Amino acid sequence: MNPRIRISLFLLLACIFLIFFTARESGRFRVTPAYLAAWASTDTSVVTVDAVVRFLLEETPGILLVDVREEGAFTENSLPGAIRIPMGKIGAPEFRDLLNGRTGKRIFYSNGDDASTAALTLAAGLGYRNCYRMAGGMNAWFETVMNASFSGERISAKENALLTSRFEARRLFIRYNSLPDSLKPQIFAARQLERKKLDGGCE
Amino acid sequence: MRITQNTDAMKIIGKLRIILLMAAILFAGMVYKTMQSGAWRGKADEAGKMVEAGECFIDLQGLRESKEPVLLLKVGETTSDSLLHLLHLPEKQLTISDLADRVILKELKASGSRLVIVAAARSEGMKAWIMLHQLGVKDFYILSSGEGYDEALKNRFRPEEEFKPEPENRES
Repeated sequence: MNPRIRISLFLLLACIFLIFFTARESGRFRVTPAYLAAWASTDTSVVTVDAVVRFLLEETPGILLVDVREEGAFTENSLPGAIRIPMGKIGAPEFRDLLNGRTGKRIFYSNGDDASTAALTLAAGLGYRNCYRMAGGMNAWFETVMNASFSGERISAKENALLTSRFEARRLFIRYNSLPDSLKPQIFAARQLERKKLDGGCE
Repeated sequence: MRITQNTDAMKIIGKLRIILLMAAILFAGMVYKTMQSGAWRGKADEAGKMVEAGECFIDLQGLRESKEPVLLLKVGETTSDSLLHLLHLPEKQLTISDLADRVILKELKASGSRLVIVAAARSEGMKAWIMLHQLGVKDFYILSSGEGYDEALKNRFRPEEEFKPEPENRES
């Protein structure tokens, strides 16, 4: 091949590489300010506690619960299957693949709404897709799930289903947080085994 | 001799014009892409640490004791706070979209005042704070009315016991 053409092809490939594959400075926002402002104005990336309950009980694939609280709070209690990412590490390269995905949902939660909103905004700025936050955080979880009760005389089928799922989530939460850390990852396998037994299957 | 060399060079350029044109377009694309996200000045991790430490909030008392001039940034549709009204502080009405406006941003940076975000919804205030932090604005806070940093767990969980949520005793 003519050396000139070789050089030209090399330059062309170098340009393409620079555009698409250059290592960007980690921890800097990638979207434009206008995009982030538009996202922040019309943000609908909020899921309710009951939606999280449903994801947990149905073990919906692709759901990742991300706890952004301090380590002590996470150790004391956390949502089943959640991982902890400190607020100061949302933009760290080691969590990029975990937090950025085309499918599934990554749901941030904290004790209230402040830290999870900040984490979600940071994730949106970093260009991570499919990120959400749990409205009300752990305080809403305690109010809705751990404190779930019914005081009326008659209950509708819908209310009954909702309350049943909340009670089941409460049992799961208590069991999960009563286990030592080493056994926590096995709780979902144990639940599947239990379900098989209830369905009349055998191992 | 020189004329021959120039003619040769022109011929080479002529032969490679499509490739050169493509390279120029790609280069322009690269510059455009860099310019688009080049407005950000802060790092995400720094903002995260500040939020975690609760350093982004200021209460009414802190506002009253502030020795620097204060400019209130009212983000979205805020309700009028009578206590805040008593302080007679200058204010500027904004939407979150305005924060992406270079002229407004320049004005805020040049104001020389401590900026305090007042938002009807806490989440809106937090989003505005993150944006301003990343855009390189200095000395700005979110006004926290009453409850402060809303990250205290209000119930305690005791494992391996019959669960009964207990309100956290703040004194103990």
